[in-house]
Amino acid sequence: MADSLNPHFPYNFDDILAGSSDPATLRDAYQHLLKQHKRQTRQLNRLVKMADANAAKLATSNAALEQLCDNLSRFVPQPVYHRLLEGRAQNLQAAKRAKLTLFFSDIVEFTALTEQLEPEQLASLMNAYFTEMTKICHRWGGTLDQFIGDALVIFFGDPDSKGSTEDACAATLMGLEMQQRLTALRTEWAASGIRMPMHVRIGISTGFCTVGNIGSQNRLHYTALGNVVNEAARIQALCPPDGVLLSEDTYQLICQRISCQPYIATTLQGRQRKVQLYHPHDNADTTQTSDLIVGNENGFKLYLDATNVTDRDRITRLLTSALDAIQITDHTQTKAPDG
Amino acid sequence: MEKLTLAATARTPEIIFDPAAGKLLLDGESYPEDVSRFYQPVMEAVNAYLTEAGATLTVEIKLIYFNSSSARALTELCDLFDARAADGANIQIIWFCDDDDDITREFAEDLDIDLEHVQITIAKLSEHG
Repeated sequence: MADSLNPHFPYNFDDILAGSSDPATLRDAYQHLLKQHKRQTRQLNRLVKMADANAAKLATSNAALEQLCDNLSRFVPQPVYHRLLEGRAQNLQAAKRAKLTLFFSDIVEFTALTEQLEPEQLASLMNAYFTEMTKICHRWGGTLDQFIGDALVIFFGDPDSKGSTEDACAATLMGLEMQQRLTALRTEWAASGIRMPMHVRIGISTGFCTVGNIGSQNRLHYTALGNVVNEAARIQALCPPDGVLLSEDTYQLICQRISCQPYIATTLQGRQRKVQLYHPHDNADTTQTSDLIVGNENGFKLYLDATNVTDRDRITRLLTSALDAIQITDHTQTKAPDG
Repeated sequence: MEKLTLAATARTPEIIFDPAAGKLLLDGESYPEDVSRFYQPVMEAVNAYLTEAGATLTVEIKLIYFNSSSARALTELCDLFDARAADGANIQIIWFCDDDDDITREFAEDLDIDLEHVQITIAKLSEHG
């Protein structure tokens, strides 16, 4: 009688184990088991081979997907890219009204720059410029709307917002950091033989815009529309080279956090009255926005994003050394008259 | 005996078992969340049909992707064919795969070695659609 638990084994386990089976049955059962074992081993090998092949296939698909994501991240604003990656794209579908802080920058006398540089030199310069500015934009959490020729349009407040004040502060501090970085870049470019230094104007404005995916069904652009966008561009045009100029609305949001000075009062299109424009101080008071601590004084520059610190011990050692260095200098200066 | 038709989904293949025509088709991709639950009704229907006297069945497998759990289920399905063929059923298995799909072809070839009473014929997927 076959074992009821194993239909593939046509012998009685109990009889075999009890030793009551005759030798011929035992031999047959043994041969059957060996055959089954061989077959099971082949099946196992086949399944392992299959699993390995599928894993390899998956790894190839993942690599292709990673490459695709990497490419996508270059064409789509970072916050939008992260939403797409997290499967939260549905929140980006509809255009909506939102209070945004718009950033608009433009290179001073760009046409002259294009005439003076060789095409390869110009392309290299612009790539370096946009790469550096983009890095700063991402660090501050801005949505890089678009490059328009040499102009850069960034907005804060959508799809992620930390509130109007934080967004306006981030845009302003980002503008200041960009100008600081450009000062360093100009030195590097001069050293590499680019005679005409690049100077940039920055305009920042805050107000309600229409923001979202605008375009056709097949081609969408996540962008902001409205007078505030134009206003940021107009303010930029009034800004002196290497400066950052703020609208009155932006100033009202940041004035408690970043010290500013009035620049000019002017009439902007769409405004009934003259509006005062402001310069944020590029040696802005050490300003803490959320987890960011930013400071810029003579002989001192600090950018600390505490949430993204990976090596806390090293940062702690650096800050301790910095504090020691200040105290030693202070002590030396105090003692100097005696020496 | 009734015809069994399962429409293809993102994770499961289309399955058509037509006892009147003596045909079973598996077409698409196979990585169901619950492999046993998916293949169990097919195994039962096919087994019931093949135990009938003089049963004849042509099996066409056109799976462009199947995971390891499905591979196990396909092995069990082929074991069933082998057992019923040993009992006298007339069964023909045609396993379709692309020229560049070495994984599927090797799997079908390996499986064929284990079958004693039924043979797997490998055919090109592109030629037969």
